[in-house]
Amino acid sequence: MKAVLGGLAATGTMMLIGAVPSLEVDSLFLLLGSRSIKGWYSGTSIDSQDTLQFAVLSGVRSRNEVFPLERAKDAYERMMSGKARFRAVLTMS
Amino acid sequence: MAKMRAVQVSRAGGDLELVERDIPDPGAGQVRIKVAACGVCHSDSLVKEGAMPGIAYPRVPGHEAVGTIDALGSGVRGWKAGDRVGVGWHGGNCGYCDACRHGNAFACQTETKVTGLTTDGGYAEYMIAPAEAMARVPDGLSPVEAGPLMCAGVTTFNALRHSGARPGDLVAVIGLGGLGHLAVQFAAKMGFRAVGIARGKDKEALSRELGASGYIDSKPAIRRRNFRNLAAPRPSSRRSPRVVP
Repeated sequence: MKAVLGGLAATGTMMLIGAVPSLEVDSLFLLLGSRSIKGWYSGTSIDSQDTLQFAVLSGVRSRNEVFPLERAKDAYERMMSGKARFRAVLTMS
Repeated sequence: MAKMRAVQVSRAGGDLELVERDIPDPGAGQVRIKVAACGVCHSDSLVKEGAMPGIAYPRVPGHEAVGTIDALGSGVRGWKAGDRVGVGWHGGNCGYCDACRHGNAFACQTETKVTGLTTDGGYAEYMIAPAEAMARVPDGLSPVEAGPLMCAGVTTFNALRHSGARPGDLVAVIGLGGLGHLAVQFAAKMGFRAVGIARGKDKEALSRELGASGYIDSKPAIRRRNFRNLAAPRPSSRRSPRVVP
């Protein structure tokens, strides 16, 4: 994370959307380039609704591995292993 | 009482167990959703492992739930039975505290409701949700397609649209997993120059397939410390915001 931070352009913003344990940053790097590091809360229900609409508009889709509800444990383990390509989804029927 | 199948965690660190439960009834301001699909998110591990304080067990995880409204509690306006809806991490907010009145429902000062964490979620045939926690699901998306967009999707989409990046700006996405593979697609479709950053040469094809115009293999790049050059070829690209899944 620290290594890639160096690629941030002047006035650029790094949006943090995952729970990285900690992030060390050279304050001069931020100051001299007016750079920002910003956290962003996922979103509320209306943001999700906007996301769904944009997905329909643009064709953006998640690539999913589908499991029936009774195989939730397998789906969870697959997700935790980091091997899922790319999201695991349970179906109820 | 009618029963349903659900998958629950009985204690912190416990297993995911398939159980039979009573079908819950919606209270005032709530709806019951007949769940069709629910995504499995890494933050479900918070529930399974008890990594957040205040989780009451047994608890049904799942905050990428999509289905149809099955029953309405009293006082619910704007929704009807049969509506296709989704519920994400945001599990409701009071609507009357200062944060809510400022439009920052996520920072609600009265209650922190998280779907599948403070309330039972979507690893079940039915679930209860407050009306304000629902998103309308458009016809063009199946439940399986909509599920992961309720958390992984909104997390990347919403961060990108609030990043300050403008059309043509360079956006680097670090990591091409569950969130990253969506972030690259959203970034490209929003009109940014998307660059995927991941470990290994083999991810380059994937990155381009998702719409990225560039790719960086992070291993040799870190060794050479050449991330500094990322935005250099185009001095006109004022910002290079990064999305970090």
